[in-house]
Amino acid sequence: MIEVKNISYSYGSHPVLKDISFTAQPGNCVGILGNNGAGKSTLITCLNKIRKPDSGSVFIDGKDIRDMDRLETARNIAYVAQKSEMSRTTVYDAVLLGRKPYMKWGLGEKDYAMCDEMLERIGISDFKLRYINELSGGEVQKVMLARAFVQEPKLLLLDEPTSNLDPKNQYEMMSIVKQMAKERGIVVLVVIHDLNLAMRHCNRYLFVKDGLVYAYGDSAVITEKTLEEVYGIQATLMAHENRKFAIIE
Amino acid sequence: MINLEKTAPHNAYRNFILKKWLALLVLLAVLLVSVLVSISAGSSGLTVSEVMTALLGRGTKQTNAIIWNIRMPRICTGIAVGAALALTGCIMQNVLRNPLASASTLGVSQGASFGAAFAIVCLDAGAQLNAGATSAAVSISNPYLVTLCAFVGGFATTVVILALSRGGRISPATMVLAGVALSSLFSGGTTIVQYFADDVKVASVVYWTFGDLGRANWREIGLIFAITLLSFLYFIGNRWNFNAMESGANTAKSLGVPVDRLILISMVLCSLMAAVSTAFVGCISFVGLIAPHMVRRFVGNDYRFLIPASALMGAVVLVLAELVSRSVVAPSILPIGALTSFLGAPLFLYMIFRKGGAAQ
Repeated sequence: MIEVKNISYSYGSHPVLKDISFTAQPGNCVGILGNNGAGKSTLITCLNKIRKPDSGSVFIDGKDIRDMDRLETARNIAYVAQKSEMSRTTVYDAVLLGRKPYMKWGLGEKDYAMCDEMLERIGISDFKLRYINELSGGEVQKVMLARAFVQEPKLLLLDEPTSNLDPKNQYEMMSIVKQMAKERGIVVLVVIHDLNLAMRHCNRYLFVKDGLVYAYGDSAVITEKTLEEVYGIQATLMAHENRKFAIIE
Repeated sequence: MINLEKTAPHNAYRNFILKKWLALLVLLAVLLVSVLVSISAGSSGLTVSEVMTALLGRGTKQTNAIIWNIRMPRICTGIAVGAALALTGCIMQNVLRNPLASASTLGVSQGASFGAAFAIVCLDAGAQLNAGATSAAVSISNPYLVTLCAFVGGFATTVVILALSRGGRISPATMVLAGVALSSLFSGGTTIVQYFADDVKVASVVYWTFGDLGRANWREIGLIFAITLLSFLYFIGNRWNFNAMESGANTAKSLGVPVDRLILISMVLCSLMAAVSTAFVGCISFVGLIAPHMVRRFVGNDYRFLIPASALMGAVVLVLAELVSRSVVAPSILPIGALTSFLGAPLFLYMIFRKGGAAQ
């Protein structure tokens, strides 16, 4: 179980996050929703020590991440940035990096086996020796996802993983995330802008407004009123085969 | 073959890695050949077999002296300084996330140069010896003081560059522009130091800024080697951390890399290598920038291989440049710093145009 307790953060004297708390169970895929500048990305980076929050912490199965060293944190929490730097690194090497928190001096058979399995699983095995800077945006994000999964995290943080992808890649990427979360009992926190994509793949929703948690829960928290107050938009919610859709006026 | 693939799917990767090892071996072989060619070439007309016997210490007294007192120090300096500058470029390009970074493009060498000139002129750490026709060399009487002052100068630049890169996201080109500004600042400083020095010291500082591999003695070569080796070991120990840095600082942090500490220690070691190289041989530009890019074509950005390959390539480039500097207008020796600038500047311009286009 992941507990986020009382996270606050400010840039200088400007508070960005105010006392954010929520809990998530293994297998939950939590969509973090809110306008630009609401503090979503800041929240993500406060959860894995990229930023140090002014107060509050994250507890993973009851253990405070402040009591973990760098490597232990990395073995528990993986992170995929919104846009990865494209380097002249092969896909295989990039995925192997996910084993870095477990590495003593070099790599073992287990590390290679896990990489091979994950490359197959995510469907990028065919170009494992290609350089990342020669791949498309969708392929790169899949590589980063594979790297995050071989890290064997309990918590996976995704910062707008689909914002540069076409609809097919968005769908594929989120499907993999949802499946893996379920299968391996990973808690996924994903910053996402596409409401319908979120409603299709997430099972928990965290609405952030002005640095505060506006609403948190399952799809019941998504109402026309919530959308209006969080995003400032007029939207109509419709249901089709037990799934909600938002139609923005 | 298909069967093998099934039992060990990462076989293809193993082969790929094997090729990178092969690239390292080829580079090592190229370095050895360059050293042999360089050591055999010279105005005294020694044959290869005479050189060989002298190398084993069994030549005549005269050939032994030529090999061990004249040619070997130059070549060893070339290897040590080439490796040091290339490592500096390779690591700076990684931690500053800037493909145009190197000691000379960011002004670290010029800062070190100013520090060393200051030590030689104002702190009397150097004295002019044997002012012959071809070697109006300044001999450094206190190499540790010169290195220290060079380090202070180089590190001052590093601090400014680090502050700039932390303050906000500045573009690689802006960082190089800052380097240009710092370079002129330090060049101005060096000029002022010279202005107040006496004639002999001015002559020696001016000559010294050209860059000359024949200047370092065995004690100084040992110091360059020791610092380079120490830095190399630190860099190799952190090879996976540098690989992680390739995906960006935040991703590296999420993988457990102590990013701030890595950047700081790396930059201190880079400044130290640039300082010790500059202190004993003068400013040698562009080797540090070009060598890592030359080997990236073969080994990619995999720092397990890029670090040793850069060091080897830097050594090869400088040993060959030294050979050219002795051969083109023999028996005169061209200043090697001028030669590497002459060859490196067009390459640098080419890179700016290419990268500038890609960065838009």
